[in-house]
Amino acid sequence: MTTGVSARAARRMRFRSRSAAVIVALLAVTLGAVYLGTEAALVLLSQPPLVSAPFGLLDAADADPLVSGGAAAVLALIGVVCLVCAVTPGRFRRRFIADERATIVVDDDVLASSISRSVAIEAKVARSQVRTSLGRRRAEVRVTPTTGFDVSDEPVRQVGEQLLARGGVTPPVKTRAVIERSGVIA
Amino acid sequence: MSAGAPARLDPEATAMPGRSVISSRAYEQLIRAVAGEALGVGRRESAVRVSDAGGRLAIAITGPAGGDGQPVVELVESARATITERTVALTGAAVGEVSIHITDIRFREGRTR
Repeated sequence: MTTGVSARAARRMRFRSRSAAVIVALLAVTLGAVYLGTEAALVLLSQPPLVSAPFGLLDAADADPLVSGGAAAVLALIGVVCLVCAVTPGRFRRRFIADERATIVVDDDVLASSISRSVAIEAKVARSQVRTSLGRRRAEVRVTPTTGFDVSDEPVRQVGEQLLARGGVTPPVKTRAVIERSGVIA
Repeated sequence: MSAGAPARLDPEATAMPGRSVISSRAYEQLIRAVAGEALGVGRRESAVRVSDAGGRLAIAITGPAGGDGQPVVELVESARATITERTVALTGAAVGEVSIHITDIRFREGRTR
């Protein structure tokens, strides 16, 4: 396994950066602060408000339950979005592959299609007769046999397992093979 | 991932790369000839459709049968067995079902060999 810079680089490629969310949030906070500061200064200098005084806004919200309710809903939504951005891991569908000299991160789609290809060769079916779906920890290989020729699931499973094991992917994946009941004629 | 050939269970078991494909048209032509012989008519007289039935070949034959004295049901039953056997032997594909629809009887009266 790799350490230090390489591991950090791999992690960066596997997880979404939160910088965009942080930029948006800070921008919103800055705008709010600028507004409050400006209006507060204007009130202190007894000048007419530029947009509308913060206390005036509060009074308006108090007067109409629709406005206050709407404002509450919008704020709650913003809160939920912030929470989701902060708490969810923001993973990309990618995997880390162990290598001595390089940091390799592979898209799950690429990995799934390489499994499909190897399985198709092993099962002697067309590439279009194999579908692989890769979850976080499980791969499911679905093979539609060619009519009249059986495909056994164990070799299919082993091909998938071998390919993933040889790549040494992180997080590791368990392979399951499903042979469809009905086949197709070429 | 290391370079080279994709993962194989046993490199020696599948020494020859590639795969063989039999198209449905090829199946139909082949079975047409087999069915014609089995039913005692010409090789091009039957119409054959193949489809998939649970991963096995489903064969549907429509055409005439030769009326040479044998009861038609018997002829058709033995033809079904013959067609199944010959198709498996010639193509290697497992046959799931054979349906024969006889549309005509061809008499061979008056013709001598």
